[in-house]
Amino acid sequence: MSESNTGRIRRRDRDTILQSLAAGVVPRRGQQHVQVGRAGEIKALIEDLERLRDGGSAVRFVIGRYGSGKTFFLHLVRSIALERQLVTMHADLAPDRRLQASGGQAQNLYQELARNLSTRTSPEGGAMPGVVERFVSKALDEAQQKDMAPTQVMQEKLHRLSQMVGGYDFASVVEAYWQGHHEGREELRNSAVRWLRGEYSTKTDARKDLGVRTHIDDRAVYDHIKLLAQFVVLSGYEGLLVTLDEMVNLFKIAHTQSRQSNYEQILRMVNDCLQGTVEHLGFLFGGTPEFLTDPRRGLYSYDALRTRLQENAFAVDGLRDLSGPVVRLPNLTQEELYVLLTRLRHVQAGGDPEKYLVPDGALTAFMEHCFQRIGAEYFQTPRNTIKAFVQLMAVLDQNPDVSWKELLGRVEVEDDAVPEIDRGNDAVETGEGAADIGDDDGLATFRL
Amino acid sequence: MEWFWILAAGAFVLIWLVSRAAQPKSPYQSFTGSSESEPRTPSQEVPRKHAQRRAARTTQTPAVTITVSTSPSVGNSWAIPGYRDATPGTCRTESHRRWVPPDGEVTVKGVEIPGGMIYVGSKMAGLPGSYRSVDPALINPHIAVRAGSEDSGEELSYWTSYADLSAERRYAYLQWLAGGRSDPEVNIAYVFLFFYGLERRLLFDTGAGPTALKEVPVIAAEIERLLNLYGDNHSFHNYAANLLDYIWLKFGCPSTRGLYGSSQQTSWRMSAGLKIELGELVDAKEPIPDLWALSWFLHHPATSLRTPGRRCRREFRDLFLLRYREKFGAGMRVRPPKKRLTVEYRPATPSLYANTFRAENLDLPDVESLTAPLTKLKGVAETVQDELDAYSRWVGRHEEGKSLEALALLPAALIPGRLSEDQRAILKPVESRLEDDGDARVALVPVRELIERWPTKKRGTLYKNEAKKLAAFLASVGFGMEPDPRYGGPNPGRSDSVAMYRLAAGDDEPGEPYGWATLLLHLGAAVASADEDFSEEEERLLEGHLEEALELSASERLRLRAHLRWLMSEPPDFRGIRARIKVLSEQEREAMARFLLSVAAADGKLEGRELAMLEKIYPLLGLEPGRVHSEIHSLAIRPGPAAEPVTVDRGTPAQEFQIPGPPQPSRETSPDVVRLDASRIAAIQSESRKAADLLHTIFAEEAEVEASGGATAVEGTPLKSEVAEEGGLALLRLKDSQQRFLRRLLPRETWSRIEVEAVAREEGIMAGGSIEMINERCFELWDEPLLEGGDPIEVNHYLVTEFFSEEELR
Repeated sequence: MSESNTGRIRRRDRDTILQSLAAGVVPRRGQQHVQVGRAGEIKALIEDLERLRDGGSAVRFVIGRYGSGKTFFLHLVRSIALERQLVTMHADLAPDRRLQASGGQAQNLYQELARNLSTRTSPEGGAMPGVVERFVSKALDEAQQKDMAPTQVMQEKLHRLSQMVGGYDFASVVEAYWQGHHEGREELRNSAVRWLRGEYSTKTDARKDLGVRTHIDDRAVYDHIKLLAQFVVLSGYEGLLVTLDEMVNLFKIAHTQSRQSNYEQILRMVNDCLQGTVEHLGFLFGGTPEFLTDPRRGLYSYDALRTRLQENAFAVDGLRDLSGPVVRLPNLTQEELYVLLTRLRHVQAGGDPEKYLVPDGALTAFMEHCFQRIGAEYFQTPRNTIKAFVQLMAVLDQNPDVSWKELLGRVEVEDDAVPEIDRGNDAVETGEGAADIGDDDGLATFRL
Repeated sequence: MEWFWILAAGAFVLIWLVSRAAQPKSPYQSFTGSSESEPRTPSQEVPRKHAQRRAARTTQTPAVTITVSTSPSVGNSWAIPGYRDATPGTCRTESHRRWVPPDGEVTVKGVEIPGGMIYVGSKMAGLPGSYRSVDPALINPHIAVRAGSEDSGEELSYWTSYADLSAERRYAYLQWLAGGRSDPEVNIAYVFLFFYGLERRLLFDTGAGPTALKEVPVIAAEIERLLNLYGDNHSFHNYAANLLDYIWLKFGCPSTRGLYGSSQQTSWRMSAGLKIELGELVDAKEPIPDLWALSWFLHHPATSLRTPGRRCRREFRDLFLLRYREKFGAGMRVRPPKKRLTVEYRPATPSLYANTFRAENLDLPDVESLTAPLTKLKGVAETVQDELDAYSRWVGRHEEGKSLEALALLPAALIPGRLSEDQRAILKPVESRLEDDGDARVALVPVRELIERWPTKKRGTLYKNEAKKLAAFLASVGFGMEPDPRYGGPNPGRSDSVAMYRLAAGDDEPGEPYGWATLLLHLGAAVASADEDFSEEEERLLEGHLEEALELSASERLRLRAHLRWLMSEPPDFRGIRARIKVLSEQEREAMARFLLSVAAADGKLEGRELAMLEKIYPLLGLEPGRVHSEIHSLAIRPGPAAEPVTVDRGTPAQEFQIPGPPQPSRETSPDVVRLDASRIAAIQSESRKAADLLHTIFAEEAEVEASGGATAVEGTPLKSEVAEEGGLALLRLKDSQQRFLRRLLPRETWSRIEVEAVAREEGIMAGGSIEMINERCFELWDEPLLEGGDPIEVNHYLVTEFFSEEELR
């Protein structure tokens, strides 16, 4: 369709994209192939990442309505970060995963983050051992070169961490990992990784297994994120990007005090990042408009956050300011969806225009079809539309003798109702009618 | 000869004008019967002009011919058949009868009578047809008179005569004459008796010679004087006024009273003068000035006034004139009727009874016969009387009409002129505040101060009706008040203060858009002041938007500004708002919501309380409170793709907020069909390309190398040709242990994690760290990892076959 679609697409990327989209989820890789528009936002975020690499910090709130592509955007940024040799952690907040809690929910969040610790080589998570080993390997190399004891080199390197909150034990655990490797004690290595992943739940166990007096509990989550940020740099990476999605779950915490304490935690992060007291660390939050601006339960209910996040004069003369911490994503327009479909077709063809399965006319016909089925929803919350399209492509691919026109009439695309979690407002509390919430679970069906 | 006539006419006009000026007349002066001087209104000049014109006309070309006819035979001369002593002005003998001229003096039975104008003598017959042997007016000095109680005996007959009176009454009559004919308590019969004589002199004697003619102005003046004194008697009033009209027409001797009747509210008859004046106006197709219209109405025989009109004459007059002007401007125009005007006089004296003196051929339309204009006037009078009803009843009950309580009941327009200095003090708080604020056009005035002097039913409480009166009153003295309950505003009695301003553009009732504006303003102010800081930007935005968007008139703008000022001072509540919102369509409510949002954001920040207020207003507008955030979001995002900062689509209320306009389907929400904008697609593709370029620098793929046919190298990426010289493994520049580790892994495509760990252990390195480092290097070289996945671990076959040499794989 256009020159922007040229270029070979790696089979693995292609498959990941198509599989993920067919399942209605955001692909973990290859997002660059299906990105439509948003050059300004991407540019701003890339600049953020560059700042992380330079030892700076960054914080962004990606705000968009349901279906506007928040998650996709977050994943895209994450992929970029990985490409830029950053380590990333990501997690969705949930009722049992919070930033601040006393019942283990914060530890849960940390565990999720640590499990999803990714590097370019392990973009799908589980990179914690790799990161630690890379640190150790580097230390060993250095020890060899300088003819020093590996422990000494490591201690020197970790000295800076020891100064930080929880840093001493962190350093001890990293050492223990080396010990385990050195002495062939697999269980020690495993214990160390478990500790680093926040999987210890009592001090006693931690002391028994690793000889440290603490473990990563609810209170230590943010401190350990900061420690990790320093550690990954010591391991030879450029920094750490933490991506937290579905922030609306904090908004939904009914208990004011716990909600506020979570916002306090966010404030700490925002302050640290904006004031530059942390290095090589960036946060990316994804949430709905309510999460941000609701004066009673959103971030704006917390005065200190409101003043920091307040958008810069968007109504004064309508200028867009991407330097503020809030990035707002508009929902797709029809035209954008159209372009997206061309990209999908391109991906499906592996980047070869010769192999396009359908002509341009089919794309508009498909959109027309979807519009008649579910109205404007089809491009505003395009998840199901995309899903149906990818599935249509798959069928066409496998049955080359079938005409797209025959299939089109049989495509079923379902209304992608806004799920409760993204609606932000608790229906009971605000008395908000549930009339427009379908009981649909967001799954689209595609039958032939 | 011509010049002589012109000269004569000029002289006459001059004399006449002087006499007019000396006796100023105004239609209502007589009507009110009060002696206070009224400010001269321009409309009064109009009748004068007509009079001048007419005077000139009558002198130059006498259009009025007068015949005196005696019934039953119709004569055309002054000679009266069958009457020997018909020569007027002469006496057969002194003893028989004598006309005492106005400056003469006579003594009858010892009573000295100054001022003359009576017939004295022993014998003077009545005129033919009267069947009277003795003229009733003749004072026979030989008949006895006696001082004493005049009231004894029977009632005075209607048509009495001097001879028929009792001696006591004759004496009383002489006494009245001697007293200058001015005792107001005297029996009207004596006045008539005197009047009979004047009639005879004027109607009969004047036909005979110049002596009587010369006396006409003096006698006319005397009649006027009597009319003033005894005009309350309807009968006398009619005769006297009619006679004056007649004299005026016949002898060109204008009377100050001729036109407008007496102090009676209505005279049940239109005087000849009035008919002539109106007739001329109608004939000339000129509008009827207000005062003339009032006279027309009041003197028409068919007119009757209700109590308010009778009781409150001045108010009735003022309001009638006002409403008449409001309704007809310079005056109503009347289509001339066919019927021509005639003036008749039937004398009162039995001596001339059955004679009808008729003046006709005036060739003027007879307005009295018209009904259409009268109906219109009646309509005006009815509304006026309705308006005066409350005041009239107050006056009836309290017998005063000057207190503020009473004045408050008057229509606003009548109040200012009736305020006493003391009463004007009610305006002090307003005036002083407007002055204090220098040039400020709007000042806040505490309601408490305002109603301190304003009469209210309950002290300190202003009910809505009272507030309406107050607003109307203030408007009448040139002040606008906001909120104005007359125009749908809330009762200011519930507020602490009201905004006052000088009505520069008049007190016009604001139109429908103004209602919208205040509703929006109200909601807008609620939003803007929610952060307890009604900023100037917010104020300006509110004002500017509303004025632009709603095409308000100058007076509405002024009013709106005052309203805003008031809103700013008052914590806005939502009383009555719901009902006003109910009538809006969904699109209008949404437009309103968008507008409010832009107001809230006008100061560049959305405060929590502003949002809370918006969340409160949204349900009022029938919208979900949660939508606030979506809409803020919409405000904050750009409308289309662009790499540079672009203008945010703010909903631009100025354009979209056309209240009853059809909703503009927003591009995002409701397209009828899939209609793609090719230019937008191009723009999006171009932006996507920019994004792709950005991403390409990050996800730089070796594919580009292939695409370029291997001719150019992406920086740092070795080409296959290079690889041929130096194996891929060598390019990785690994440590020996790692190189050995990798070489052992390469031949197979898939390894389990445990196997890899084992190999690493054998080589004395750590598997995870090594894989990281190897892949890291591979990314740098070829942008792809060599060892993929966590468990199992796959060897990237593509890289191996493409870049690694045979030896390295062995």
